[in-house]
Amino acid sequence: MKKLLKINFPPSALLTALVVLFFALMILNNALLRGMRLDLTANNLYTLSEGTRNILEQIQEPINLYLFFSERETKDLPGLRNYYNRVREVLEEYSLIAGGKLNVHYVNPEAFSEEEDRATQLGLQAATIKGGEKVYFGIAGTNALDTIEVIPFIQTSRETFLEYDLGKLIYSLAHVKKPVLGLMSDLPMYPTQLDPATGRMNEPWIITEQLEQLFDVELVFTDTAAIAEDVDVLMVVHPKNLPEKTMYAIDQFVMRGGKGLFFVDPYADVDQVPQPADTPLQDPKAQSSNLNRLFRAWGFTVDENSIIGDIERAMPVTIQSGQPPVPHPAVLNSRTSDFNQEDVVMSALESVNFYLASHVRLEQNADVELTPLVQTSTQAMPIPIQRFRFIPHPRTLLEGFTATGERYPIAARIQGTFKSAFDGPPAGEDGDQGASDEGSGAVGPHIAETAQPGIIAVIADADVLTDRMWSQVQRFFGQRIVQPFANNRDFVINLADNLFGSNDLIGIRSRASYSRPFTRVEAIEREASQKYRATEQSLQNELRETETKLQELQQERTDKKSALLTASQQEEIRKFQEKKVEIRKKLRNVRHQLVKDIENLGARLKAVNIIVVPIVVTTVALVAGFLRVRRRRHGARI
Amino acid sequence: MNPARAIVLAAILAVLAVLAWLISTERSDKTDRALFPELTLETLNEIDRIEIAERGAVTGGVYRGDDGLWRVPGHHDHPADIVKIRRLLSDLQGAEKIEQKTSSPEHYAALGVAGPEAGEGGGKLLTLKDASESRQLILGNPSRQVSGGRYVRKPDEAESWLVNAGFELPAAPAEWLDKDIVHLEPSEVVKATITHAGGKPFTVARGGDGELGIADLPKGRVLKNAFNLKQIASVTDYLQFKSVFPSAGHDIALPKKYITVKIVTANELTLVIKAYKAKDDKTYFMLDADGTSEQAKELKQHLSAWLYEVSSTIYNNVDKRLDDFLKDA
Repeated sequence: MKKLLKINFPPSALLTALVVLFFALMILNNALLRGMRLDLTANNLYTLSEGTRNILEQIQEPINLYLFFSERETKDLPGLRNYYNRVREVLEEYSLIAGGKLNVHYVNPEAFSEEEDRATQLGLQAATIKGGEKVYFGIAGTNALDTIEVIPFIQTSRETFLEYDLGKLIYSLAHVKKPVLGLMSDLPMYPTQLDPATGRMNEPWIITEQLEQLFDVELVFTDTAAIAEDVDVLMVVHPKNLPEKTMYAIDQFVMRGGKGLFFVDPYADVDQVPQPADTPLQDPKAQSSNLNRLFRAWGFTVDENSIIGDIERAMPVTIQSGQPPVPHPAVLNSRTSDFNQEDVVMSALESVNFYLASHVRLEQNADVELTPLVQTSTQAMPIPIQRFRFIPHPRTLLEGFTATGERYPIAARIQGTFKSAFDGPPAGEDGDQGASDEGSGAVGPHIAETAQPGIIAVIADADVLTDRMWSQVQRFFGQRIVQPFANNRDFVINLADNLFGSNDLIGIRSRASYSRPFTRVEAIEREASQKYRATEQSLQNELRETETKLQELQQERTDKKSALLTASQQEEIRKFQEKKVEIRKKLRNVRHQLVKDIENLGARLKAVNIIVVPIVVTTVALVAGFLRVRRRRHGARI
Repeated sequence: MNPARAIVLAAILAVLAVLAWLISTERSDKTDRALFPELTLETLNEIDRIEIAERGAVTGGVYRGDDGLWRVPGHHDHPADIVKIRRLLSDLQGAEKIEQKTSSPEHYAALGVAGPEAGEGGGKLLTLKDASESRQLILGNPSRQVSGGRYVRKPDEAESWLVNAGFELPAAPAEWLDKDIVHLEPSEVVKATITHAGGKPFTVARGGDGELGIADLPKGRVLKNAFNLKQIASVTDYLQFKSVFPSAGHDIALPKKYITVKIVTANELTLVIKAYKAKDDKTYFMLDADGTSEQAKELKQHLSAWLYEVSSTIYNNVDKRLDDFLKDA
């Protein structure tokens, strides 16, 4: 080896060695360091959530993802191409983590090709761009069975939820069994129930039909003593006067890790309870539901003594036919600004309507976390429920209305360690204290608290589920045609879907946008733009005045008998026309100058990046080299 | 860095890079996409038996006899439809794996590859045999993911696969039969004589103008419709049977009253059909051929061995009398 190092190689050998060194390092990097990452971005854009990692590592059988992207048709769409590269990088990382269980294929579906046929067959949607060309940018996933899951078109607007959307796709493929939703309610949500108002079997609520399409819905009786093991999410709607054993069953369901979706309502309009004839006043409590017995133990409550009024979100309601609708402060049209935009459940929704809703609040010293999903505006206050006994006119509810400035959560997700509301199974029907687990019908021994952090969702309104709150239903040859005017259905479906998605999926956070703009450049552009805007505005005003004057002159008829203008009138018109041309020329110059300044800025930045930085680096290298040579010579002289 | 050091380092890294590249190439997926890579055109020709089993029982198949003809067991060893056999073997030879599917026995039924013993979701077990080897494949459900694709699994392997072939199998064992009896172009028919038992024969013959007419047309009678004569000439145009029996050993007796149709073609082939309706109201043809050509000899050998059940429509085309074609002038 020493002899080798003493050989005097020619310069060309050194050059060749450097080239070989470069390629060797590249190959070794790809082969050995491929999976290594160091994420230095703000918000850790390229670091996957633990939930995603868990989902990928738990894949048992092979999953294939086909990423379709039209290469040729998108060559003039840099934004979309950049996003495609981002999606591709994410999928490559997923594939590495999944250890061979996730295969990613990249497909370019050219027009009239077999790949395009396959894209259509799998359910992808193309976007049509100028020239009528079709652009595909979607993912189809297949699993070890006959399941296909698709993201028909990957929207750039859902960039912050990319990890969630991909995670959900993979999760759905990896878990083939249709999730089981247990539905517990005495309201006429289901077709097997008798509608007390009509005395006939009712049609299912539309939301119930939708849930049945997506999940395996099992009816759970409101006097059940146990929730079946195969129920993944329990949806309890307007639970009124539940027996102790049923309360215990719900409690233990949550304790053993089941996900709860609770709709409780201090005054459910849909619960039409017949009033005795000798009771003139409506008793709101008769139409009230709550599970605070359980909720309190779990760390929160739903206010059962008040209904939230919000004057900013009041929806117009018709009180009397022939009269114009009147805003009702307790009938709320919640909008995007009221939604938790960072939550995947709410991000795509525009409006959700609530009817006489209450609000959710965390108990003091609770060991759980409450994440609001829908809140009121700041112009809200709780209205005592007794004020609703007389079915009041909306205007009367505004008497004494004083907004508290607080935003009240109407719907929330609660996560954390839940403690049981019971010390043990309730007594059996024979009155024996401390009945055995078998006697109470509970599934397994009593659980005092959740072993893992539990997740439930609570909505302080049951009327939100009724068809009339979000849709108009028409009949067409016996079929129901639904025309939604709010996103209530999507809200409920998203919630249920999200709860089904395992703790890993729920835990995938939304990301900040991965777009990293040059903020300093944008600020400079804004300053330049403002400078010219003032001049532009002044010229625009002058132009408008001139045009107005021109119009007035041309329509002036001092001599009503004559259709022609006088010479002086014509001269004045000519002057104003010339002025108009001059002003427009100045406007054009102003705009050109603005564009030119911004382009000059861009050119300066490019020059700095392309020329100045290398010059600096080279200068530093030369200086360093010079200093080293000087040191050596100095050392040699000594 | 010393130039010599740089060169030596480059050499070492180059060796490591080559090794890394070789390893990564070995690690890459080298799954042979062919479902049966050993099935070549040569080996396909050696296959002499195809069996299909469902729910534990053989439900169909074909075999190649000593004479080289593929035949259908259970249907009197009548010749099989070679086109269907060829299509199946060609699909098998060209089938490629597209995606690996489940290896979990509890999920096999969802794809229909649980195996014939499993009952529901068991699929069909296809067995190909030649003199030395037997190859088996469980044919599962058609795929939604790929047009014309199917799920399959080899019984001795855990992995199931999505392949790019449909493997069309006849729905019933009888569907393997070659149902063609004879094919004579109507334009080749020179004359056809129909004789009802105890009746006077009449002949449909092609005149000098090439058109069909009644020979020895009785005086005072004219043709009702020349089209009806074409139906007689078309009887042997892609003539197919519904079911088939060996001519010797069947119990469908020839009744006393039957129709004899004698068809003569331009190349002097004579085809004689005895057509009759049996007691079970089904209609049958017995055929015989005569002539000096090779076609006549082959037909004679083949046709005389079988009794064919034909459709009532075909039978009705020959169950005609002279009066059915004529009217008074």
